[in-house]
Amino acid sequence: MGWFARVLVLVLSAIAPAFAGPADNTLRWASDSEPANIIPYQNTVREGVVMGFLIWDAPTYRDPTSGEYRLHLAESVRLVDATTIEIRMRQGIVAHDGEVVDAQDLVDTVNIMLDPANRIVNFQRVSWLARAELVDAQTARLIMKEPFGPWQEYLTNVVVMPSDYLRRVGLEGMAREPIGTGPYRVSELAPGRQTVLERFDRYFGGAKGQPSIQRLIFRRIPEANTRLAELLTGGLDWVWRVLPDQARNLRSRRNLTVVSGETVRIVYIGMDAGGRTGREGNPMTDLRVRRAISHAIDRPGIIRNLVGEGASVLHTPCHPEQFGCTQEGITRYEYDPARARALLAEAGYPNGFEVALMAYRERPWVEAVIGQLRAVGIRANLSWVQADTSSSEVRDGRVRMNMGAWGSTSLYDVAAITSYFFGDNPNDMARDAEVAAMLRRGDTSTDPAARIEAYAPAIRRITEQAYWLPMWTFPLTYAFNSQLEFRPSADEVPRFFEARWRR
Amino acid sequence: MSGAQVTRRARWRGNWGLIIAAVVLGAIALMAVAAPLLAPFDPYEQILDDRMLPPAFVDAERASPDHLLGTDNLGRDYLSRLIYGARISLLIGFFTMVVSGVIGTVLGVAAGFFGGRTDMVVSFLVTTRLSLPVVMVALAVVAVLGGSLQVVVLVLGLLLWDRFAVVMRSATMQVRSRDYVTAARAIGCSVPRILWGEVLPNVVSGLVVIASYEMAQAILLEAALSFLGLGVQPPLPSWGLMVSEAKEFMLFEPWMIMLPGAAICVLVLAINLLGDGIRDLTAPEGRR
Amino acid sequence: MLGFALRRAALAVAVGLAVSAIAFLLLRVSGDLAATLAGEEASAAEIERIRGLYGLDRPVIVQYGEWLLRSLRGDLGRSLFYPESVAKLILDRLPNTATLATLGLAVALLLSIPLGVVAALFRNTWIDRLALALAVLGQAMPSFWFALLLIFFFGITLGWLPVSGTEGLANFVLPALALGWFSTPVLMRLTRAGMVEVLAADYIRTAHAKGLPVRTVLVKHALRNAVAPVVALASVQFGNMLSGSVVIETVFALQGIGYLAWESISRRDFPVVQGILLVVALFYVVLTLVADLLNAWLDPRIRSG
Repeated sequence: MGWFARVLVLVLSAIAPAFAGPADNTLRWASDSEPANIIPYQNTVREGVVMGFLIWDAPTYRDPTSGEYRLHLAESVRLVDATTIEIRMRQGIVAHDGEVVDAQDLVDTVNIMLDPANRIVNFQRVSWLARAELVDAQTARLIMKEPFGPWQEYLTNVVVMPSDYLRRVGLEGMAREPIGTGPYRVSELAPGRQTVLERFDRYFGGAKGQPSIQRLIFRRIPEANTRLAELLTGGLDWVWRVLPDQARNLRSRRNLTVVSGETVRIVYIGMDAGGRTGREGNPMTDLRVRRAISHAIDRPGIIRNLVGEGASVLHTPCHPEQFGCTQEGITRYEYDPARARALLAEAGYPNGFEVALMAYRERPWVEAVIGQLRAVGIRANLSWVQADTSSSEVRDGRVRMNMGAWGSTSLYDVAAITSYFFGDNPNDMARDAEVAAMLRRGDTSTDPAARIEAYAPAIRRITEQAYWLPMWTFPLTYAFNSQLEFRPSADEVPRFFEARWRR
Repeated sequence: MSGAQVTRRARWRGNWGLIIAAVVLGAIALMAVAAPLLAPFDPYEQILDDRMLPPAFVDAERASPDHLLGTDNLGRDYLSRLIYGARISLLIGFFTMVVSGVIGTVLGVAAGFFGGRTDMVVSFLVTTRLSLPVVMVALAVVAVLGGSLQVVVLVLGLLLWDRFAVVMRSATMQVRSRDYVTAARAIGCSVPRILWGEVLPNVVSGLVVIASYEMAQAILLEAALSFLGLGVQPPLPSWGLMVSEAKEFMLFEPWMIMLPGAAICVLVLAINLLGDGIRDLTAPEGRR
Repeated sequence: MLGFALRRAALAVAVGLAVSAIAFLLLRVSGDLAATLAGEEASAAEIERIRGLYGLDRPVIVQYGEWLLRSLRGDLGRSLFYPESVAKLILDRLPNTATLATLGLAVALLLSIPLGVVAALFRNTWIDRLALALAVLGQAMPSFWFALLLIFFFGITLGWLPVSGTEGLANFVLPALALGWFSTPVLMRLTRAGMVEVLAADYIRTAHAKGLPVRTVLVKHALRNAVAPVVALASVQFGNMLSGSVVIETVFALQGIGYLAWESISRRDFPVVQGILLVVALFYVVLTLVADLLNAWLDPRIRSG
C-alpha cells in the first residue's frame, strides 16, 4: 500500500462513521443500474429481479440454500398430466392494499401477461405457458404449450399480482404504484432518485418468512468510486459487485463485512463453429482451432489475478449447480500455449490469424483474453458493444467470436442455458443437429431421470467439439455494514427479507 | 519604468512560456514518434501475475526494477503504455483539430469572403452546431457507431469547428476590403486563387490560437468519453483511457491515475501555453 | 427592424428544424431498438413481436413526421423504459440541473472575478502569472478526475459534505465546485482583459486624479464597466451548464438532464434522448433569438449587418 493509501486509511479509521442503518432499522443499498419498470414481467435487470422478490410472491419458492422447491403462495402443486399444473392457493393472502389474493388472481395475472397486446418485456417468465384456467376459488390450472421439463423451476418466477387492482390501473398504473403480496410494500417510487420499501405488516410469511428490517432504501449510483465513498462514510449500508482489488482493501476496515460468493452466472467464449459468418477461410469451423483457443486461455491465471475469490474454472456449457449439468465424461482443456500453437500449425495457421472478438462487459477480463490469444498468434480485434447489440449480432449470424456472461435468469436448469445456446435456435452458433435433438428431448420430458439421460451426451459432445469455451463461474462480492446480518445466495438475488440488524 | 520596457519584458516572458511549451510538446511528439524505440516493453504484453506493481518511488518494497513506472491492471508495463499512449492522444488531438479546422476554415472564409446568402447559410450551420450540446451528441453518436479511434476523431472534429468558422469569418471580412485583395480582383484573378493566395495567408495567424485550444479540448473530451465508457477501444492505450481505467483503483492505488492524469495535464497545459505564446508573438499588444 | 426580426426568426425556425432532424436521425437510424426493449435474455421471436408492437417496422420518414408533429404539440412521446412521458421525465430532472447550473455559475464567478481583478491590478507580476496558471491548470485536468478528487477529499477524508444524491443543498456543493471550476479560466481571462482596458481609460485616470479612494474607483467605476462582457459570456456558460453536464452529474449521481441523457443513451431510450436534445437545442435557439433581437433594438447598427 502506498503512502497516500496509508494516510487515507489512517484518516478514515480516525473518523467514526455515523452509520444510521441499525438505529432506525433501515437498510440503504445501491447498485450501478436499476429497473426502469419495477414490474418483474417488464424488466430483465438484476435489480428488478431483486425488487420482484421483495414486493411480489410466486406460487412456489426455491430455497437458495437447499435448492428445494417450497410451497409459498400455493398450498399444493401437482402435475395433472404432462402439460397441466394444478395449483391450490393458500387461504388468507392479502395484498398491500388489502385485496384478497386467490386462484383468480393467479389466473388473471398469467393470462394478462400472455396477452400480446400488453407488450411484456420479460416474456420468458410465462412464454412456456399457453393459458391459465380457474377450477374453483382456491384452485387454478396452468396449461403448458408442450411438456416442459423445468416447469418447477420456472413456476418460481410466475409472480402473482392482485388482479382487481391490476385491471383497474393497468400495467402502467401498476408500474407507477406497485401493489403486491410480498414482504415489502412500495412507499416511494421515484425512478432515478430512490425507491423506498416498507415492511408489510400483514405479510403471511410462507417460505420467505417474516422480514425484520423496517425500511429498504434503494438508489442507483453508476460510478463505483462514488458508491464506495458512500459506503465508507455511512451513506450506504450495502453494495455489491465490488471489484476484487477494492474488496481486498475494504476487508481491512473494521466496520465493513466483505464476502464473495459464487453465482449461477457464468462467462463463456462463443465461436462460429457453424460457419454462419462464412465457411471460406473461417478458422472457427476447424475443431483444431477451437481446441487451440481453448488451450490458449489461462483461466486459472485470470481467475487468480482478476476475477477473484469465489470463482472457479468452468468446463461445461452450464453451471455445475444447474439441473442436468453433468461433469462426468466431459472433455477438459488445460492451459497449454505450446499445444495451442501446435494445433494452430496443424490446422494451417502457423502464424495465427486475425479475428473480431465481440464483447460487452468486464473489459479487463476481455483484455486479458485478447492478450493471451495474442501470445499464441491469434490477433483478436475487440469490438466493444452494448449487450443488446451483441445478442442481436449473434442472432443475425454476424459474429465469429464473442465473449459474454449468462445468468440463466437465475434458473437452476440446463434448459435455461445449454438449450438456449445450442438448441438450434438463432442464438446457436454451433448448429449441431445431433446436440440440438438431444437437448430438445431433455427439455420436453418431465421425468427428471430421462432429462438427465438426454442432456448428458449433449453436454459431452459440446465440450468434445469445443463449440464453446466455458470460462468460469461468475463471482459476486458484497460489502456491507458489519452490524448487518446478511447471507448472499448463489442465485444473485439478495434476500433482504432475511437480513436483520444486530443490535 | 517606461512603457516600452514593460512591453519588452512581457514579450520576453511570453516567449519564455512559448519556449517551455515548445520543448514539452516537442518531447511528447518525439516520444510518440519514437515509441517503438523508447518503450522498454511491448505495451500490449501482459503478465497477469505481475499486475499493479507500483513504481519504486511509490512503494520501494513491492516495486520491480524492470518496470520504472510500475505495471497496470493486466501486468502491462506502465511506462511503455504511457509512451504509446502519447501517440494516440496526440493523434486524437491533432486530427480532430485538422478535421474541425478544415471544416471551420472553409465555412468561415467562404462566409466572410462571399457574404450575403453564403454568410446566411454558414451562420445557419454555426447556430445549428452551437445549439447541440457537444458531450451529449458525441456520446450518442459513439454509442451508435461503436467507439474507435476514427469514430472519436470524426465525431469530435464534426462538433468542434464552430469557433474556427466564427473567427475565420470576421478575419476574412477584414482582409476582404484590403488593398491587395481589391487589386487582385481588379487584375482578374480567379476566386480560388484570391482565396488561396491572398486571403488565407493573411488570416492564418488567428488559426493557430484556436487550433491549440481545440486540440486541448479534443484530448480532454476523449478522456470524458472514455470515462463514460465510449472512447477509444482497448488495448489501444490513450491517456484518457488510461485515466479512466485507473479510476477503479483511485482509492487504493492512486499513483495509477496520477501518472496518465499528470501526462494529460502537462500536454494540455503545453498546448495552451503554445497558443498563448504564439498569440503574444503575432499580436504585440495582445497581452498588455 | 421588422425585416431583421423576420430574417432572424426564420433562421431560428430553420435551426430548430435541422436540430429536430438530427436529434431524430441520430439514434433512430442505427441500433436495434426492439432488441434493447426485449432485454439481454430475450429470444428472436420476442424481438420481432416487440418491433411490430412499437411500430418500429415502419419507414423512418414516417416515424420522423409523426414524432415532429407530436413534439410541436408538446408531446415528446413516452420513455421506452420508464413508465412515464418524456416531458415529465425532463421536467422532473430540470430543477436539479438548474440548481447545479446556478451554483456552478456562482462558483465560477466567485472564483474568476476576484482572480481576474487581482491579475489585472498586478498585471505581468508573479501574482498575475499565478492566477493564470491556476485557471489554466483547472482546465487541463479531466473533469471526472477532479470531481473524484473532490469526493475523496471533502467527502471521505474530511467528511464535510455528502458525495451523491440531491436531498439538500449540501449535496450540490461538490458538483457545483467541480462544474464551476471548469468555467473559471475563460471568465477570468475576460475579467482580466476588461479590467486592464478599463483601468487605462480616461475616466479612471480622472477619478484617480480627483483623489477618490482606490477602493471606490475600483468597485464603482472600473469593475462595473469591466464586468459587462463577463456577464454576457457568463450567460452563455450558464446555457451550457443548463444543457447538462453529463460527466459531473454522472460522477455525483445527481439526477439532472445530463445524467438522464447518459442513462438514456446507454439504454437506447430514443424518445428521451431526442426529447432532451430537442429541448436543450430549442432553449439555446430561443435564448439567442431573444438576445439578438434585444441587441438589435438597442443598437441599430446591427440591424443592417
